Amino acid sequence: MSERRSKIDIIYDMLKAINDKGGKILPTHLLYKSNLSHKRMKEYLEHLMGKKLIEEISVKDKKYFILTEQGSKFFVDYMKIKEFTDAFGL
Amino acid sequence: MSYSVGMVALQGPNWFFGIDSVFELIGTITLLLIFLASYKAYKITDMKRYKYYSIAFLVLMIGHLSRTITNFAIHQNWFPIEELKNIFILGYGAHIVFTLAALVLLVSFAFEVKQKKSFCILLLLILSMLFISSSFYLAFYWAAFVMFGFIAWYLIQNARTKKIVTPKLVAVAFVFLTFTQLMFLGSSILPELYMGAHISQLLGFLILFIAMVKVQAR
Repeated sequence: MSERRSKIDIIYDMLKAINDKGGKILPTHLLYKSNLSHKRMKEYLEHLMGKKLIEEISVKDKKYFILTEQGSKFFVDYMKIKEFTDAFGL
Repeated sequence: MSYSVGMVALQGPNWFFGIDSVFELIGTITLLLIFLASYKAYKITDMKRYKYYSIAFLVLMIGHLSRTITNFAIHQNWFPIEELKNIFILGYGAHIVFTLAALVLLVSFAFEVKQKKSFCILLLLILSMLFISSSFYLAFYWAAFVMFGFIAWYLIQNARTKKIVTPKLVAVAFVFLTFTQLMFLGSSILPELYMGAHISQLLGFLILFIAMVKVQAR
């Protein structure tokens, strides 16, 4: 049975998707990897950009999202939080 | 040696007193680690579940520390003999109240009791039953056994759904902590169980400590 993902799971999945792509990802790939609707992904992107965890850049007229240094550190912290959450069933 | 003051009894061989305080200190450090990890998660995510979880482990740690300090103070003869009863009542009273409050919070959390009123009624019921009980000591460890048992059962169900090792470690640790309560309960009849309870508790906290190290090593 698949459970509904929490906010922390979604943010973790998004950051992991960017990290797995070497810290830079196309919006369409991110949409696919994070398994969200376009509307919800936009909300999460705004949240992450607001926190300066990711940035939007343009390379040869293509839009990418990149992990900032703060975002990379945050991703490591999130991995620990995810492990802690899973360990205690939170 | 059987050392009894009022409502509480400490059982066990003389040579073991002092060692039990060291064992308990390891438990306190482990509980502190869980509190810090949960509090950090709350500061990063701003999610209330981490806030309540950190509060529960902070309260549990305070309860544990109360017993550690009380036992140590008594074994080290910090206080005159006539003061011992009050020290015992104060230290163990704090231990009982804080531990039960933390366990009620953890049980409420595991079984998604979200209303604060339900939490208050549950805690009030348990504490009032304890006060009217003829033996604080036995009633407390029985209540702790039941609640640790429910938490362990919840954590076993959680571990079964996860592929990683840390949930399994946490579940096993809580099984040890559940049996610890039963052994403390039995130590009033069979004093040897006092040592067994401390060893079981130490194993539980050491396993939890390993789980926390694995979480931080990610």
